[in-house]
Amino acid sequence: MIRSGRTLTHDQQHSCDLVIVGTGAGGGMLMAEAARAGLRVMALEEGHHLQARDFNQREREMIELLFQEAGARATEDGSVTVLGGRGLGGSTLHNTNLCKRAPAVVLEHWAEALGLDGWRPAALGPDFAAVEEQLHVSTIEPERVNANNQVLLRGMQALGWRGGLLQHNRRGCAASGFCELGCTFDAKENVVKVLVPEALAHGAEVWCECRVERVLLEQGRAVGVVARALGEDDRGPTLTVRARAVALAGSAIGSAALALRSGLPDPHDLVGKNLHLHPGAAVAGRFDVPIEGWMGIPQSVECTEWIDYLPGSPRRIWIVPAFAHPIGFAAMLPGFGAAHMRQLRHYRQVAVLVAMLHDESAGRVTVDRSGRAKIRYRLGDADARALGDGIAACARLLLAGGAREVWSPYGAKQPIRTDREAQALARAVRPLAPPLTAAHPMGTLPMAVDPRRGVSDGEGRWHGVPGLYVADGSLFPTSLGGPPQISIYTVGRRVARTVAGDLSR
Amino acid sequence: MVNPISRRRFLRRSLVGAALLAVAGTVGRHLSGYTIDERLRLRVLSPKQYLVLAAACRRLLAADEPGAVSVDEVETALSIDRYLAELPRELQRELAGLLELLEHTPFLFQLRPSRFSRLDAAAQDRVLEDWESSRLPFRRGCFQALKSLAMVGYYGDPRAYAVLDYTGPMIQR
Repeated sequence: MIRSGRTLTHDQQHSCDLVIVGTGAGGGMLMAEAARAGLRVMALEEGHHLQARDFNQREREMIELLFQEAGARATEDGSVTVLGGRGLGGSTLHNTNLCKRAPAVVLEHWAEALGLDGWRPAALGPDFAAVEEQLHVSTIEPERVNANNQVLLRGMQALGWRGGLLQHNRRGCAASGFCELGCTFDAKENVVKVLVPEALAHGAEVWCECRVERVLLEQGRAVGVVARALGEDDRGPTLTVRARAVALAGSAIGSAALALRSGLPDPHDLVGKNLHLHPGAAVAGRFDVPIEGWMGIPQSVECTEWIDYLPGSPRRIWIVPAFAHPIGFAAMLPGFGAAHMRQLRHYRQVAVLVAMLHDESAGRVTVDRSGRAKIRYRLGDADARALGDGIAACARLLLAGGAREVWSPYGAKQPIRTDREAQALARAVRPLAPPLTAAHPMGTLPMAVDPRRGVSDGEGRWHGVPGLYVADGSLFPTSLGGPPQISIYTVGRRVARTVAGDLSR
Repeated sequence: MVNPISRRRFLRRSLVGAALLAVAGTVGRHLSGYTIDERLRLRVLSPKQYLVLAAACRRLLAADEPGAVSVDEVETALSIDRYLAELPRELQRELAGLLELLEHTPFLFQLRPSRFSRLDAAAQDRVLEDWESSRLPFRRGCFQALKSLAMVGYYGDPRAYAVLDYTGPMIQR
C-alpha cells in the first residue's frame, strides 16, 4: 500500500521489521528484496508518489516537482549545483537511465585499501547481473543514437579516442528526449515501475510526503525513526515507526544529514566527510546543421579516452553528451545579456558535451540549525588540472565532430575555432573556475572493515550500532567515476541480504 | 511594575499604533523609492528585493533581440518569486540576502553613492561582469545563482521558446 503523509490527521505509531528512509535506487531495491525475503517493510519518502501521467514535459514545473530544493541546491560557495531526486523512486525518476557497473579498477582499490573483499568484481558479478536482468538493461541500438551523441561518435572516430555505446534500463522508449523531466511514456525500468510493485506484492508499505527527522536509538541500538508529515507547514503530525532494523537510503546528502541530525554514534568523526560529487563542466559547440539535441535519447555514447580510474591518475574525465531543455541550457551557457541571447538563437544548431570528473577532492555535508543539509566542497589543484584537461578534450571532440566553433564554460577566449585553441583551454581553468553541476554525490558514510576508516562495514552495517544500516551511494569510499545507479541498486540488494540474515539470527 | 490598562484602552492604542505603522511603512517605501504595484502579491521577496531582481533580470537576459518576448512581459521577477516560494526558508533567506548585496554592491565594493537598481544599464552590466569574473568563488557563486534564477523565470515561460526555435513539450496537458 502507498500512503501519503498528507492524510495524517494525528500522530501515529507503527511497527515493522525494517524501516527504510528514502526510496531511490538503494532504498527501492532494499524494499523489494527485503519484502521478498519475508520481512515486514516500511519505506518513508519525502517526495510525492508520481506516475507517468504526472510528467508533463514542462521544464519549470518538473524541476520544482522532481528535484531536491526545486533544483536550487548548491554548495555553500555556489560553485557546484547539486541535483538530487525527490519522489518515490528518488533520482531514478529523472536520471537518463545510464547503466554502468562500478569499474573493476575502483573495486579492486577498495578491496586492497580498505579490506572490502566482498566488493571485488568477481564477488559482485552475480549481483550486478541479477540487477541488470531485473531492470532489463541493454545496449542502445545504433539507429537510436541522436544527433548530439553522433557528434561525440564522430569526434572520437576522428581523434582515434576510446568510447562507445552505453547501456540503459528503458523499454518502450519513445525517444522523446524528456528523460530528465520524468518519463511520460513510463519507459524507465526504475524503482516505481519495477521494484515498488514487487515490494507491494510482498506486503511492503510505503509512506510518501513524510520527512524523517531523526533515527531513534535505545541502549545503543537503532529501534526506529520519527518522521513528520509534510503539509502546508512544517508542523504536521508525526509518524513514529519502531523497527528491528533501520536503513538510511536518502542519498549521500540526505543520509549524512539525517545521521548528523540524529547524533548517531561517530567515534572517529567520519560522518558527512569524504563527500565526492562527480561534478561536470559542460562545453557547447555550434554547427552549421540542425542538431536539435533536446530530441531523442539524451546520453547513449561515452568517451573513455581520458579516464583510467587509477588512484592519483591525472586521467580522470568521463565524457558524455549533456544537452538540456531551455532553462538548463541557458543557465549552462557562459556569459549573460545580449551576447548570451545571441548564442541561444543557435539552440537548434548546438551540441553539448560534459566533462565529468572522477574527483579525489573531498567535501563535507553538515546541517544548519534547522537541520537542512549544507554542502562544502572545493576542487583541489590536481582535480582542477584534470577538469581543465577534460574541458579541452570536450572542445577538441566537438571541433573534430564538425563544430564550426566551441563555447568554453568560463571567460576564456571565445569562441574557440581550432584544435590548438581547444588544447589551450586546459591551462586556462584557474583562476576562473567554470560553474559545475553534479548529480552523483557519494561517500559521506563510507564503508571500511576498520571502524576508524569507515562508518559502515562492507555489508552496510553501521559500525557499533546494532540494527542500523546504510543502503545508498553514501557507502562508496571513493567516487565511481561514472553513473552510479547500477552500483547503488546493487548496494540495496546486498544490504537486503545482510538485514534478512541478521534478523533471522 | 507594569500599569494595567483597560481592554478598550488597549484596543484603542493598538489600532492607533497599527494605523501609524501602516502610514509610516507607506511613507517609508515611497521615500526609499521601492514601490511596486500591490496587486503583485509577492510571496517571498520584499518590494525592494523584487525591484533589484527585476533590474538584474533585464540586464542578464537583455531580451531586446528581434522576436524575443520582453523580460517584463513574461513577468520574470514575479515568476521567480513564485519559484522561490517552493524553496526551503533558509535558502529563500540566502537568495534574498544576495539581492540585498547586489543592490548595495556599488557602495560596498566601489564606494559609489548609488545602488544597483539606480545605475544605468552599462554600469549595471559592469557590476554583473565583476561578479561573474571575480576571483572570489563566493561572488562567482552569487552570479551563477542570480543567472540561474533569471533563466528559470524567463525560459520557464513558453513565450520565450520562440527565440530558441524550441519545439517544447510533445504532449498537451
